[in-house]
Amino acid sequence: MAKQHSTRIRETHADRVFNVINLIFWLLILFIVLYPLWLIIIASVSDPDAVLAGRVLLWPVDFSLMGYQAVFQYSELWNSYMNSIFYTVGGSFLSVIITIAAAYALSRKFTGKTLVNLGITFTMFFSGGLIPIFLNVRDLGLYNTRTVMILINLVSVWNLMVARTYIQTTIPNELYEAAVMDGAGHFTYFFKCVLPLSGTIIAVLSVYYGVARWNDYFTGLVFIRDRVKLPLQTVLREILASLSSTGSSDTFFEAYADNLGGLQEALRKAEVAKYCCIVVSTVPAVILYIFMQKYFVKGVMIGSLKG
Amino acid sequence: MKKLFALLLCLCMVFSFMSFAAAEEKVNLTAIQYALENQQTDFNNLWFFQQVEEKTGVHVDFQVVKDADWETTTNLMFASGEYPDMILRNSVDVEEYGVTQGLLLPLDEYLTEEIMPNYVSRLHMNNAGDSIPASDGKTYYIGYLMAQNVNHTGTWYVNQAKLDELGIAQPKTIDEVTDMLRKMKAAGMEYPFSASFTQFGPETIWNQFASFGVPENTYYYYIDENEKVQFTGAQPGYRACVEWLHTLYEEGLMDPESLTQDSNLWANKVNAGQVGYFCYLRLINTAISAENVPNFKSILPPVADGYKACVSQILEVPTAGAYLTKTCKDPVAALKWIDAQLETETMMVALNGKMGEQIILNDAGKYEVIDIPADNGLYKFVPVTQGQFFAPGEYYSAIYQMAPHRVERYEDSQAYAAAGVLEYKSFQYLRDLAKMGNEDAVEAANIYTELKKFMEESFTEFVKNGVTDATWEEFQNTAKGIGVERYIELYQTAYDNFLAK
Amino acid sequence: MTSLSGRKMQHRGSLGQRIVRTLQRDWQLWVLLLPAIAFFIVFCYFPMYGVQIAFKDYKAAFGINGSKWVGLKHFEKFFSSYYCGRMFANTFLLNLYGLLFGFPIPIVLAILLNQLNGKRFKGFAQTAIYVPHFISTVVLAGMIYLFFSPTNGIINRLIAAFGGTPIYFVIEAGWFRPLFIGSDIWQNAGWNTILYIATLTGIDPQLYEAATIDGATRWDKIKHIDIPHLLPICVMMLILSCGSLLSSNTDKALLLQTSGNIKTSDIIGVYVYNTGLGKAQYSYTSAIGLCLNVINFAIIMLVNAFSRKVSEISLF
Repeated sequence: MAKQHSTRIRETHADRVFNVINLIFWLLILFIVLYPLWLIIIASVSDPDAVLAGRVLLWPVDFSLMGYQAVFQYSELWNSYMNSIFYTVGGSFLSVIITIAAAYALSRKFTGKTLVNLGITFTMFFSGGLIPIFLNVRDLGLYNTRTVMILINLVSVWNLMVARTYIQTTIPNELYEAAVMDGAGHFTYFFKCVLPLSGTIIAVLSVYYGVARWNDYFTGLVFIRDRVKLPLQTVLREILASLSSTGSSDTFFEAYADNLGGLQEALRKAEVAKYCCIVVSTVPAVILYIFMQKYFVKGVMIGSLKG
Repeated sequence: MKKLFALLLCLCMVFSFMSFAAAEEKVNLTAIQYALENQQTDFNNLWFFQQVEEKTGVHVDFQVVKDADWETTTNLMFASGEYPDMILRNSVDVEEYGVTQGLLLPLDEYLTEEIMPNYVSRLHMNNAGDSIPASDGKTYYIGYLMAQNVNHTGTWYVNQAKLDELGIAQPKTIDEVTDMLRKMKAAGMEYPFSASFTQFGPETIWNQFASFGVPENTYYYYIDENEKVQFTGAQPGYRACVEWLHTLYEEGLMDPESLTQDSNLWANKVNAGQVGYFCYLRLINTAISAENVPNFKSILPPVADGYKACVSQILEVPTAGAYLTKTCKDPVAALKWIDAQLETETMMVALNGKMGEQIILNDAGKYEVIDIPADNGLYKFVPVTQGQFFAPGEYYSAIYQMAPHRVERYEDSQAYAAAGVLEYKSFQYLRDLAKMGNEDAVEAANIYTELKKFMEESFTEFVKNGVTDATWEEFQNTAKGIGVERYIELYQTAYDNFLAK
Repeated sequence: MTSLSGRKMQHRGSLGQRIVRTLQRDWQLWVLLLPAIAFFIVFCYFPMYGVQIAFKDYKAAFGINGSKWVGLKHFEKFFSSYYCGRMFANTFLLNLYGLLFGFPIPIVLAILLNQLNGKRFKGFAQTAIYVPHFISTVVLAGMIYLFFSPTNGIINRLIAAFGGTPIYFVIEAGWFRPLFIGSDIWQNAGWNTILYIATLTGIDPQLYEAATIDGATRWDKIKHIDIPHLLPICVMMLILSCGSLLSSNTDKALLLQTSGNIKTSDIIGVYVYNTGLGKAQYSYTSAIGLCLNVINFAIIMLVNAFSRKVSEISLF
């Protein structure tokens, strides 16, 4: 009796120390992570000269909404926002379904599995290159369509492998054997057992695919011609004038035309606008993640395992 | 009654036939149009192009491509086998796509008074069109030129307000400059000398070599007085300059960020009054705010002991205005459409805005800008610098009332030319006028990629840590190892061929 | 049971027979696999003929098939370029150090996050560390220049306040890798914890309760419950990461490269970018890409084989 009592006290003490250290650690981490983010938010509403001179530290300096004005005056931006939401939600939905189904299939043993695995892994390293891919899309009649925005990068090998590993290691084989003994085929097992238990990996896949699509600017740049179909990131990237080294040398002399003053005014605005662009494009992603977090639930094992 | 009816019917038919025929006359062309990153010009509905369409009967469908996407989009376009009729306002590789692959239409046969009167009449003013023909002698593009009769980009400036305050005269030699910088530093100035590191910026630190007789232009070649192409890095003046810069760096007389910063950050410091000595394009209508302009004065480049000032010279060479692809449906109509935009008043409207609102014809018979809409409002109805323009210096100064900032640059150019501080012949003879075949151009470009890395690396190394005989020797040897001698040889051959013509 | 062992006793049979057999028995699996396979065939294998561009002198006007065959010319050119060795070393080391330092951190963070009490604080922390992933590279580089500026950057002001001399970080070759990798970790560690956190939340709480009853400390629980559960996923991630040891984050390297740190920042991706600036050399850059992909593929196969021997986890 006495022994048990003292053991419990000792572990509580060790636990408490651990908790305190953990808490301090996390406060430090959060500071390192959040301070630059805070800086971005206040820089997006500060005067560009103050930002460049390094005077913006804790609070906005010379509060001004010029950056947001510069960004939102682009009517294309609103349209591209809608486009991105459509591409992201629609595309990720499709991606997740196909990936989880394939991941399940690959977690089973069957003839031809190695071949399929090899064939899929191969595509992770070798590709035909931009021009053949472009020609392929065009020959399929998908150039400049909204469909191509959803179909390109539909399945990621990386995500597929991760999902497959997750299914293999988290869902015990005994469950499968029990289902087989009850006379269930793969479909039944998949839809009735695997999917309900895969809430977490589905959430993870949704975040992975969702964010990848949301951040992608390149696909819109290459495969879309009608500006009304462009996604957000492609438009944002165009809005920001390149601030570091100048562009191609041929346009270099152009800059010395009459409106150099206007050009440099625009560059000043762009300095702040880039922070505004970050805020504009990040908010939905954060909302998505908060929403997805509640699916990271503790696994609920069906009690029929042992019985 | 029947007759009246029949007459009406005939009239209707004639009418519809006429309008049908009129509609038939309209030519429909497609074009890839370059657009500036941060402007939103709706080319397909732009007031200006609607005017041009009415005048010429040519309707153009624009595919707008922004600066950052230009390379990717045009390369994919060529690869796809489906070409637009025209490519407008940014360059494509003429040697590759024109000469070697034959995807661009040679324009020589169309450059006549009948088809392009405006363009042809100015093509040879100031030798403007000399750099356009490719290595096979054919013309593949219509040029874009906005000449200001200027001959250099980096003018030297001092913070006159500070000089007056400290009672120093404007420096004429490098030693006087060092002295001045020391005094400025002692008086509390943070960055007596400041520059940027952008490759083509007029405020770039690479301009400083001019004080030591080396007209560095970040291509690492120049033409000496014997018509020989030389490597800038092999010159004694090169070494002397980096040694001087090292001294400035050590003593804190130079803004250390000169080795990394872009023009935005640099301009900030100048505006804050923290800089005493720098190079720049001009003072008016730049990043330097209007109230700060009177503080600065331009000077001739100070010279180092034993050297002659040698400022890099620019030629006003046309850039890309328009190309026609080999599948252009109607080259004559396309070129007439382009030439219509080069008509004097149309051209000025395209650049500056509507007659009577933004520009007027003043008493001297020249076009004068009277209003610049705020917030880049111009771009909403005219293409500004994204449209066609061809104005050699002689022509442009005759029709255009130069705004104060252009007059400033013009006067600076006159002063520099009169003082004889410019390089013997512009490096642009090598970059734009002497043409190399495609194979040689690829070889030169590949050597340049490696050379540029090396030169930038060594420059920074020298400025930070100084030069010794050993490191200088190593610098020369490594440059040779990278292939600088072959690089120079390629350009020498191309230049010799050019001179022979 | 009978079906599983029964399969082993059958003879292998001819290819045709095996195909029919697998389609009969496992047709449901093939149906589930079909969309994914269709995607890979249509979008990845259809254009795969483009790999031959690396061996040709591609000219758009002649198409891929009409372009001249040049064999290994582009590869020779690449390997004989002056800075080739340095580029390989820089690329490899940058990725290797990034892996060494960047791989364990998300795991540690996930484990520690899981141990936090207070559901709201935990949720907040989880979201907060994930946000930096969305900062675009341009802004990140801009912030680095701002923070580490030798004249008015925060870091140098702190150094000066403690009596040290300011360091010109962005121009020192020795600081490029720490800045690059450090900012990578700052940006992506939180993102990389997602998978690990998901795995940890899937652990049966009964295991923890049983451990508490047995008198286990927090540290014991981590060692005996958390880590074994994470191990398969970690190994899989490690294998996959080894497949990009010669890849380049070109955008970021270009932005962080200054004339002073070229010695360490000159990576292959930057070279390919600069080559393209001069004259578009599509075949040449394709050849470089192919070369790197082959090496990456070889590395991942080796690591995979090793992992299969040592543990049971492998790519296939």
